[in-house]
Amino acid sequence: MAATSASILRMNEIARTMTIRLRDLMSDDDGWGHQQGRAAYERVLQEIERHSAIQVFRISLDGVRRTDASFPRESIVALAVRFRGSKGICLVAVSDRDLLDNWDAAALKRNQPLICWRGNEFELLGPKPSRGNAEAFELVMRSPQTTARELADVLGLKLTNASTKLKQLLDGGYILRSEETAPSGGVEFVYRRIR
Amino acid sequence: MKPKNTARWSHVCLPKDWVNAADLDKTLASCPPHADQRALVRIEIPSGCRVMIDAAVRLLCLVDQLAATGKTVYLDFENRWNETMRYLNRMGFFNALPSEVRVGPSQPSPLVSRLLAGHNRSLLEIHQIKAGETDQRLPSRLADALEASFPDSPLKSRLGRAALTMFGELIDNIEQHNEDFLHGYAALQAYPKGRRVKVVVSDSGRGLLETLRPALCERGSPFAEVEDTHLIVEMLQNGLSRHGDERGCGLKVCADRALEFNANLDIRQTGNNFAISPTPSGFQESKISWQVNETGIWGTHLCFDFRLS
Repeated sequence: MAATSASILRMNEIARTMTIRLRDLMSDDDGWGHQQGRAAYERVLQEIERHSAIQVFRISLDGVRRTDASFPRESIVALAVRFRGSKGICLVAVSDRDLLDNWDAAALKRNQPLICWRGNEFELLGPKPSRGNAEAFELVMRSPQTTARELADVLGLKLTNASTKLKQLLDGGYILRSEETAPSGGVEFVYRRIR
Repeated sequence: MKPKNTARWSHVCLPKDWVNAADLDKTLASCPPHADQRALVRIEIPSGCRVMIDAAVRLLCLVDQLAATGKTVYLDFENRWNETMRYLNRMGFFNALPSEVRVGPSQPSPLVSRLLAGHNRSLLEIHQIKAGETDQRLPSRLADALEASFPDSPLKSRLGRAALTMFGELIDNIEQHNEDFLHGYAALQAYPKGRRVKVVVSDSGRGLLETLRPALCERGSPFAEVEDTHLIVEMLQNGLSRHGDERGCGLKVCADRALEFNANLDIRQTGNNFAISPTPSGFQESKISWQVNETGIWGTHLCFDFRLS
């Protein structure tokens, strides 16, 4: 039953996402500089706006060979900043981890976390959560969705403390949130990883 | 045609030796052409003078600047076609000269350097950069060519990535920040046998620190009042930009890639030079040697000297 529930949650998670292959929106395998970054920003933004119901956009780096730091800073990181809190942007299909060094620098400079998925494992680029919120972040990343109540139960926290941590992670750009009907009939916040 | 009446000409003579940017500056500091009131400048490049890539790029910037201020420049190769001219021609030096610059004994044919472009064994090429006109594939072409120079090296891909980063960031910097109408230059020399690579980017703008400091003052940055060496280290370690805290990681990522290859860094700008050696902890203030730059050359000159161990 638990496995079925987890599968349903995962399927719902996937249904809210869309993959954009960045290379298809670039003029070359390599990306560099402000100008190319801004051009990619505009093209990816058009795709995002065309699919307004989608909550998480997975940017595939398949086919992207090399970039400097300005290119991701002006393109994908800038988009993540723009949509922080409302939509999620993460990276997928990175064949060479060394490509990410410059993306990490770009994310740090914009103070914008950016999650890169490789299978079921993730790497967090950019700023890291505070020591106090690190455990909460790890927990949220383990499943498609979490509530403050669930976090409080697992970590042995007061409900208000768990809520604060999740709100801080939301404001920091690490996770997303939506309002849903609670089992009790009221409204509760559901926090989601960006995947 | 060799100048007559030499009293009307200011004269600089390069040494008969290997000449890098530091050697060039030392020569120019003794009689800086910008400061000389005479409108005619003769730069003698004798036989036996081997101009290295960083010096060649710096010399090009100087010649551009002198021509832009209305001076007549004569590059004197001792009245004969020699190995020095051949070497400079292979790297595209003469093709990059302003048309009004005179060359003695004669300007080499542009065909030779165009034919050799991209086929130099030691990968030696100079490219012009100008906002809006730069070849958008230039950083990739240089990175690909560098990888091809070291086909059997396990460092090949990392080298290519480092080159793309450096040329991408530094060329973008010139395009974004150089309000001047003069060209910037990007150059690459690889020595596969010696396992060394030089990456050089120069411009004729207002200078790295001259543009940064006023912006830092304006926004009340704590770095506005620090010493130049401290500012340079901050740029390399954490990034600083005149456009705000969200930009300025370009030089920092170049430094990060340079550290992967234990590269030395030479920064020359109007007024001062910085030579920086890497340490296991990165580029540190204690490893910067600073000196006054009395050449009067405008702009910023950056040279990364990689060693592939």
